[in-house]
Amino acid sequence: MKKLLVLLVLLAFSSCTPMKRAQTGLARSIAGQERIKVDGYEVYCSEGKVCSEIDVLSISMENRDKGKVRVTFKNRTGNTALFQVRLEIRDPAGAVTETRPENIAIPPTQELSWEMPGVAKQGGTVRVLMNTAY
Amino acid sequence: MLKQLLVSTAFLLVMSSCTSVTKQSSKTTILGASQEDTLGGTGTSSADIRTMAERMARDIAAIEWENYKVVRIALTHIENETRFPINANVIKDRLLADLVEFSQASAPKTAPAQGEVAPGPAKIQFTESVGANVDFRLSGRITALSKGSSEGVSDYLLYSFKLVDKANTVVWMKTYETKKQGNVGVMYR
Repeated sequence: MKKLLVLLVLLAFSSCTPMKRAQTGLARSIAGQERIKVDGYEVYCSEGKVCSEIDVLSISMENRDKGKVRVTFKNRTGNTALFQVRLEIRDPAGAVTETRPENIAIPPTQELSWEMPGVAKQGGTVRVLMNTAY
Repeated sequence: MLKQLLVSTAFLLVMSSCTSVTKQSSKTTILGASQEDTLGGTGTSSADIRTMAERMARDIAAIEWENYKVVRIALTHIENETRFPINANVIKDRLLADLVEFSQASAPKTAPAQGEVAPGPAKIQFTESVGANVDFRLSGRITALSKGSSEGVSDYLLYSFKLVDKANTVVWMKTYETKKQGNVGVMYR
């Protein structure tokens, strides 16, 4: 019995990291990150729920340096949705430009065209990162 | 029976000893600068300032200045005409930092030789003082439409920025808007 007790105490002190990893892994798999393609560009939702409530209808990027990136969102829910958007622009040489996270509110069931000026790169690609707004 | 109790206790011990190490104490919480705090408030937030400064700076840096090798812009003032006591210099400094950062990316790598036209985009320089060598003046104004009732308050804030040339002609203007509804009682200091 004593051996079991010692073993359990040792277990308690040694297994925290894998236990925590399992917990967060489980939480992450429930929340579910999601990657989808829209108009040839990647949309990444760190929590899949965001992508299930907000549709990305279109993404376009001007094919010139310092041009605009335009993304059209649709709120699928019956509430005013609030979420966070960031852009990651990669030029042909691989250099990455990131925009700051921006909170976007969309009235129930409506669409919104959101534009970020001055970030496009000629021949580049854009990745739209969506997250919950905290 | 005792064995089961011990196993359950150990399991609970494992779970409780696995509390998050990245979770912050309740005394002071350090937030990301673009993160909304839990205090609320319908006025300007740090996220608004960061977003609007980035948008304005990127837009100005993307202007194609024809017939200019060097453009000198003076960021003069930002007027606050709202009920919120905002330190406008927070916006001004954030904006100036972003203007310098995003405009440097578009500056030509080498200066053109004397008498030659600049091969790339014009170099943009910024100052805070208006002198004779300034080509454009950049200023901002914050205006608001505020409502209040027993249910709470609502504020629509309009941040407008404009570039005017020496003849006082507006050559560029952009706005950033927020509308927030909330409870009365949040103090802006």
